[in-house]
Amino acid sequence: MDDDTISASNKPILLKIGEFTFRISSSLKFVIEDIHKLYGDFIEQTPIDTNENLIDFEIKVDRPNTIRRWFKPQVCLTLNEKMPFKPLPVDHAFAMLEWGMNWCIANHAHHYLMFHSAALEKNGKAVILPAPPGSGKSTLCAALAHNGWRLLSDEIAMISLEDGLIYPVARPISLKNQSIDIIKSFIPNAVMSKPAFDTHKGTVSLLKAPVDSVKRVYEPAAPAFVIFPKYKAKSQATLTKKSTGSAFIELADNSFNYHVLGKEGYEATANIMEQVDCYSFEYSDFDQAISLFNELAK
Amino acid sequence: MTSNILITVLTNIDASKSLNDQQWGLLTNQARSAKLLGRLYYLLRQSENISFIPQSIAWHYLAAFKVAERQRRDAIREAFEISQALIQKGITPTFIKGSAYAINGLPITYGRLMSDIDVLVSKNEISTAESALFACGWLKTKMDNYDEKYYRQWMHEIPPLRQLARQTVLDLHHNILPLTNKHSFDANMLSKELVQHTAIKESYTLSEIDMVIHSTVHLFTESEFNNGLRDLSDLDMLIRHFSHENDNFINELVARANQLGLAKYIWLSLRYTQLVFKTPIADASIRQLNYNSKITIHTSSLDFCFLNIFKPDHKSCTDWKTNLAQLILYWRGHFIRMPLKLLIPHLLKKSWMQIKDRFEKDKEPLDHMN
Repeated sequence: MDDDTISASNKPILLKIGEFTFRISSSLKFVIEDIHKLYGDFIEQTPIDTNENLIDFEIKVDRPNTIRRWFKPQVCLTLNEKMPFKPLPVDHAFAMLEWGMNWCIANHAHHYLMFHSAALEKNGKAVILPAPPGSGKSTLCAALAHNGWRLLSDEIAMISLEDGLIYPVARPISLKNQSIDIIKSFIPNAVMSKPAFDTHKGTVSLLKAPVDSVKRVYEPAAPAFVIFPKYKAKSQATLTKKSTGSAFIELADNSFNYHVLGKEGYEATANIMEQVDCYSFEYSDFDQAISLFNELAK
Repeated sequence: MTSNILITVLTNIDASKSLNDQQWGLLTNQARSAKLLGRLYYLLRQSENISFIPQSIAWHYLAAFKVAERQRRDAIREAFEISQALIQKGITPTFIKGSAYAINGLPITYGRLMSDIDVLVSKNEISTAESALFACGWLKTKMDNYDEKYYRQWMHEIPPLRQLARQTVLDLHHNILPLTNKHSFDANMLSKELVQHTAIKESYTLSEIDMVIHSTVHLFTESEFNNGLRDLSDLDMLIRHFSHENDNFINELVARANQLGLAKYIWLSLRYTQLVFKTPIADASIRQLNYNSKITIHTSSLDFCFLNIFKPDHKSCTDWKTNLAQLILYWRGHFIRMPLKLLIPHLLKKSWMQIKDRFEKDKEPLDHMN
């Protein structure tokens, strides 16, 4: 047996994340270790009487039963018995699990309007941070989440179509390349997954969500701000008011399922726009960024 | 209750009233695997059984239905665009399969997932149609030279087109069977009806009977049955719906199949909708088919294959027999598609291309977010 493989008797891990129930299994030891490391608080608060007959997403992360089990070893993700993705190098297994879980939510939870964006909350005021990859959204999200803001989500802001509130998932924050070391030095006690090198996004490592955010994962929050962040070297942290019209378009553009929802999606976005102030935000220094955000949440 | 709970519920929707949580979990997984979750939602809603879905998983059903609804609306919109593009060039399109169900508002369209839009034009209109569609942003998808040539020479459709802005895929057909299939016939023999849709003018769909003929021929000439159960459920729903409107529908269908020389295919379709979905079809009607349907070894082996294939693609319903049936039907599909002298070189070439792919496409990115 390979030394990174553990015995098959290992029970699947049940994770209740907000309203979603995942059941995850893997015979890869390092995957199981990272799940316990990053999702330990979720595992702990998953009710003991969770109904295992009604699982939302059944995920397996394992080596394939082909030559690629040994030769340039790969890993496959199985969701409800299907493999929606091509295999990846085995070292990317935990990152693949994270991407797979994102995909599960983004492709199924159409009872929410979902944005590809981070969301955090302080004093009952939630901020939505939509941004394209490379804008430093996750890095800013990590800094805020460990400095007084409650993490709602790093990847998917889920807006209920019933009450317009943001429903948290509070899963780990996905950091890439230089951000990994930046966050390590900014948050000294940061708990992170083993980095996956050479993914199509470069090096990826996941940062554990603060325990308070996980404990409050059932508490929705009302959107108060939509802020489009952009990291710019040596810049002063600056918030610039943004017109509702252009923010609307950019936000809708950032949605996973605006198109699926059609009119419902338009109305939900319009409803958010009526409640929020919109800004674009440039920053290079975390302390400046955090104090500016704290001002907003007062 | 059997392990194939999806069929139990689809054939008797009120069975959903008395399921326990374990059965609901299984039903949901089977329905999702079979791409029938959206349809199941629709049928549960129509029969007022929605409230029996356990609350914690009800959202899966609604979400699947929403996705299908989006596709249904998109199909109607694309049909409008396509008909505009073609009519300008003097071509009257015939919408077939999913797009036709959507345009005609048939019950089968609700909750049904669709991957592309299918349009039929005359063979001599293909190149005009292709350039008219190109002008409206429908471009050829990437395909290697071998596949492209294969399509153009032997298939009943040209390589798929993709809309540049909206990414929808269009299959442009000039027939409903590959030219190499021995039952292939002149597509002008298909009977068509003008579309009765407020937005889509001067376009056709197949007549109700030929819609079932086409759906049948399409399913029973396949060599891969990933959506087999869904497609058989389509046939079941079409036959039930049309028979409800016209008592004589099955007899007319049988007569039409005899006329087109497709009795064997319709026999398969009536046999398996009846066996799997209990579709109400009189045996007397089936006997009118010009097809000798005595129970023979041939029939038993067909039964073995199709009854093992028309199941949810889920571990609760599949075993070694499913794999064997898949293998046999794979070859059956290829043998009906073309004669051996074409088939052998084709399969050799395809296998070689697959082996090459396996090693070269190592680094292909997955479709996900950061």
